[in-house]
Amino acid sequence: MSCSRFKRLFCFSAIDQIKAGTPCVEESKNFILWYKIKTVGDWLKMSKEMSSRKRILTALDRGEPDRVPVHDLVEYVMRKNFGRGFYSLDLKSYVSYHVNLCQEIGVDGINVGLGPVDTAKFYFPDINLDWRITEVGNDYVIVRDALGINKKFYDDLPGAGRIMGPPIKSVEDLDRLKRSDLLASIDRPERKKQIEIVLDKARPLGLAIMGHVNGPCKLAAELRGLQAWVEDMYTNPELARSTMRFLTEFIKALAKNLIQAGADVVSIYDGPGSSSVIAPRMYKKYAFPCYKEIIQTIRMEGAKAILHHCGNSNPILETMADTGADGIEPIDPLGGMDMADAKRRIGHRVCLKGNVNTVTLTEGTPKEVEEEATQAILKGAPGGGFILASGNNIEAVMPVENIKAMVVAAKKYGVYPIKL
Amino acid sequence: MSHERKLLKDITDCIVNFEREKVKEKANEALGAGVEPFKIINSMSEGMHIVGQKYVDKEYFVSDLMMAAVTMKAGIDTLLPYLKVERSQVVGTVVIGTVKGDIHDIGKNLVSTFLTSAGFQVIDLGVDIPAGTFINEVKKNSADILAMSALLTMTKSYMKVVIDELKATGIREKVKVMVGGAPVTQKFALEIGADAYAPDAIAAVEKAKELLGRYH
Repeated sequence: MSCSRFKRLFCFSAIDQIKAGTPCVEESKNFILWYKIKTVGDWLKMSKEMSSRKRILTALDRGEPDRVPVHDLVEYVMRKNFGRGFYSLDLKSYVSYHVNLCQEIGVDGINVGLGPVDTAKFYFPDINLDWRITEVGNDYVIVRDALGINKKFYDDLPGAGRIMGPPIKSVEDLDRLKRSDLLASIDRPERKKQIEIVLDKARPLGLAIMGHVNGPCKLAAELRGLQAWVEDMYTNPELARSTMRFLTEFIKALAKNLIQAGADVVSIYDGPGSSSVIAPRMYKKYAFPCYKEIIQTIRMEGAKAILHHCGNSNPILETMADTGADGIEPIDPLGGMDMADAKRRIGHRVCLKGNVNTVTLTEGTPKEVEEEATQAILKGAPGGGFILASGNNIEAVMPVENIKAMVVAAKKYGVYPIKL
Repeated sequence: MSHERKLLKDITDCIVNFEREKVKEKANEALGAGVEPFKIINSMSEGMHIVGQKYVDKEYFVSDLMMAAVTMKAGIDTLLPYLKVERSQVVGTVVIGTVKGDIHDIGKNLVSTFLTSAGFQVIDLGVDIPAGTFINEVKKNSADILAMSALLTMTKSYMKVVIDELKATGIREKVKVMVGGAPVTQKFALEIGADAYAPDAIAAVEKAKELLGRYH
């Protein structure tokens, strides 16, 4: 039964009960009835406008929320605003600023990351669990993360850092990493505490807590170097498999930690898994089993799983749905993807998230973004199971007004039932 | 089929099937049989051409192109001691790199390899390249083409910085500028004053040839 149908049914029976004016013979019954009416009344009011969290979770269940939810990782916008100061920001101010930014833009979820790469390590600078600044230049810093990956971040170009020499050069290096206490070190109470600070601020606002981890392809490409990892898959399957197996355990541990601390959703960001990088047959052979396992863990822990391959995922869309993920993103138009096509092919199996062109978000006007977002809504939202987002991710150069324009479109044209 | 033709066909097949060790063996065997090195290179380029076609037909993907490229490189390395490339044989000189702040190099590496296999002399500067380095290398090598790559919406704007810098140093008219990368479009290329845009490595070879056709 679709969510909206359920809602209508429930509303009718509740209203019928109230109209019937059940005679109140006893005080206790009276109280129960009043209690019911009160909650039903509240519920009716609430049902007009869902909380952000409910909106996202309903969409991930392939249902129809009150309106199309909007979510994207907005953290790079912050990084731009802070510049170098970002690295010395204390956790509480960071969280307040992040929550305010989500509110200002109007997204329905806030991202929390754990462990060691990319944005994740910047979430908790004052507690400094996994990463160290190893070099400070005039306009950059180099940071070393838990996996031993060094990354260079330019002040004026906030975004994913440049990898400085992949740490795994041989089977022996991998064995050393396997023998280290890395996996055991993930489950530390400090981590959960860090996330709880985010939860304290974001929960009362009704925001969905969107955890994210990097996927096995992205991490393997960083650990081994992209070229070496690709060559492994063709000529050294054993090393490719054992690297990705190890990373799968690592990612599962991170995801568990996130969920136990309160994440509603865990997204697996894995750009190099897309057919813009690896051939679909390599995807099926190496990446697919990893995703299946990670997603099973996420779902068993009680959260929803989203799988992200930016670029061209056309040849692997059905395989992505086979992983058991609740949501698939970002149906990247730059990779030649079309929301209507994705909806037709896998919309009955998964929630789709996307797909406003990142070039429009960067260079277009708010009006153009709104138009494109409306198109995405019209193609992806009918029948439910849709979250509006960018066609890849929000970057620092995108004007905040453009990001807000997606929310404007969702409010104007994304109210269910969708009028075509 | 003559022995020579069979050897050359095997070499082509090695590229198409990413057989790195076998291509070295076969190249050495061909050299031993007295086959001229340029013929061996040609049959490897023929392999790259087939690979490119398979990519266009969506039978091969980027990881396949990467494997074909390393196979080609292994073959060329085997031949290197026997190769005497005349300057006149070089189609043109290309300085290529991924712009400052960007770490992505798959596409750029493929463009490098495909240009090399099409007879260009390619000076690949790598990733995260500032304007100054691009300009120095263009000057130093009297490059015909400067090719820039970016995968991020954010970093592609740096291409314009490089082009402006070329103008400022007075060498913009001496070199053709090609740009590429996922967020780059024909429209963007025109806006920043580049001479050409190519959506992938296979198209880049055609564009490069076109540019030099107009140029010479």
